[in-house]
Amino acid sequence: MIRTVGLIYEANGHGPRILNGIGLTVARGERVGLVGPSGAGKSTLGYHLCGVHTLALNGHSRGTLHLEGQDAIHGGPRGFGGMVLQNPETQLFCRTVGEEVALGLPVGSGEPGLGAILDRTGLQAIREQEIATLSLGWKQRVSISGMLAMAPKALLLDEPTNYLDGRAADALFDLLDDLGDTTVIVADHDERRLRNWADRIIRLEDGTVVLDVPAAGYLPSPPLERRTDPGSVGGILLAMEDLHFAYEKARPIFQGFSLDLREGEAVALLGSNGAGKTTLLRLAKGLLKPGSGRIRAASGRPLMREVGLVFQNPDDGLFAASVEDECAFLPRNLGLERPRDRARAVLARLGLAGMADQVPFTLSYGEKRRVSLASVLAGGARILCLDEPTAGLDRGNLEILAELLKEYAREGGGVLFATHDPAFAAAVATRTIRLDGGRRDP
Amino acid sequence: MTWRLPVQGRLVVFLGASLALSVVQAPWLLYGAAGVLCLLACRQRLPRRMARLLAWTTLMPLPWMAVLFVLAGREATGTWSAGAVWGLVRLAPYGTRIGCLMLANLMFLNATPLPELMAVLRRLAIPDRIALFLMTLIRFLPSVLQEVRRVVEAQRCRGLERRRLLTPSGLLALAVPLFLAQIQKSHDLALSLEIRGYASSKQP
Repeated sequence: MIRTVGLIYEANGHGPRILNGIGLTVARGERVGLVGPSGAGKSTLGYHLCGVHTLALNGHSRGTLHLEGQDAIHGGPRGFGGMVLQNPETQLFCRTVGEEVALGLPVGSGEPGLGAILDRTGLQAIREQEIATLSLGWKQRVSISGMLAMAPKALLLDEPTNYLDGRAADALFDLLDDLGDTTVIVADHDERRLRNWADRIIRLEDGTVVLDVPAAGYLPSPPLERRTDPGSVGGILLAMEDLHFAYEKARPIFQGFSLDLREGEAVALLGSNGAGKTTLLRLAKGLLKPGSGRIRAASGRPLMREVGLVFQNPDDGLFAASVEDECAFLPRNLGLERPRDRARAVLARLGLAGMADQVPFTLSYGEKRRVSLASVLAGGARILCLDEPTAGLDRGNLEILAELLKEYAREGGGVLFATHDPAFAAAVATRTIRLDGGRRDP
Repeated sequence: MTWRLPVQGRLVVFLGASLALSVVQAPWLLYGAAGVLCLLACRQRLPRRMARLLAWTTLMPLPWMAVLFVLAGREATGTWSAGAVWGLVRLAPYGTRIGCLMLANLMFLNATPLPELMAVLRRLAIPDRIALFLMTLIRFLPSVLQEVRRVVEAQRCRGLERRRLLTPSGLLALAVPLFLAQIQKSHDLALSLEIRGYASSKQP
């Protein structure tokens, strides 16, 4: 159904090749997993295989691309492919679930068409519900349904598990299993999950297919090495005592929660979406005030100054003209001496000295995450909080991050991080806390 | 009631009401319209999230606007006390007008499924690009405010104090991430709609 021969894609028509002579055939109904490091060309190849490359990309494609026997190098047939992006919130347009799904239906499908697609994707019961009130997992499902409504022959999901907890990701892949003869292509860093779901795994590196094997025969990268040393634990850095917190009175998040973070500790917060992990980090930083209970840094300094918080999306904060300026921003705001020297020192420590003069927006996602971390560390905080630090990171960046966090703790800092990735938690954390709607389950 | 009319009727009522609210000058007419709209909004059971958003977006700029109106009053009357009265008397209908327009907008959106609205606009031969542009404008302006709060929070965590947000460097730290986030969001949304067959010009 999909055939490429010598497929080349260049971002500007003459720049480096993002895809470099790809030759593939994909059958109808096949389940394909695309794996490889960041920047390998997984998403770009996926766009081509679904025929949406001319909509999603601005570069130049060459070679042969046939979709259902038609030449599609200059654009796929209308309605051939659907695509679901990693953040479902950016691609949902309507107010309710039913409206969103109906937006993709062919004219004249009416209620029977809408009902059928809602039944197929398990959304019938919540068709009148407002999308804004749904969890990310359900929003992802609505996105998929919106695309399935136009009955695509192929569906691409680009890093769909980045924002999902394990249970929501399992449910997503169960849904993808039930899509009949729709060809489904998933680009993701979670190789183990892809191997269990897909018929076939294609591994890309530098725009070239380096492996194309049946999924059963694919050996995913081994998980990060489990941490065995307990670390050297010192005095208390941050104390949370008997916390109570609720966004709405009827739905308390924390009821009597306590936690001490000590020097040398790396504490992982695990739990499903909505369990309170991010809320706890925001409380620790002082962005939220507990209803009752106490949070204090042992140094006695304000939490806003003593605690560094790295957000999940690095783009929320980056704005400066150079990486060095970005990292000097916090020390300058805190009135610390020689902010540029501090920035340079942190960049050197994180192995980013070579990109001090680069514009942050031109960096890869993994590099932005590290710059975002550097920009927080430059403030000299001894307590470091990170919200889903592994989302969207490939294996190489995961290893770098794990080492950085362990080193930070070894040097006497305290790390508190929220993650959906139990393997990363096992590799980094000296202690793990599982949250369940604010209840602690050690 | 208005929201039980067919979509075309609702659209006509909404456009007519918006036009009237924009041109009417008599303050008592505006206050009356505000009262009627509030009653209708209660009957329509506007979702709490929408009502909160409306209150937030209407009330937040009021202090700044009050400063501007009072300054203009000082300029017009020559004294601060007379200027304050002059400014506040003019601010009241102005704020009411903005609030009414936003409330009418939210009520219309709450009562009108977007696919139905799209279908009507297509029947009126309004090109997809223009229809989607208008719908995106009215639908996603509120989400920009949420984005602003997120970016402000991120920069506060990086030591930027609230009082410095209005300095040139503070504004840059707010505006750049906000602008880039909106560009990314627009790109993703446009792509999602184009793939679903809306406003596609690149596809053969």
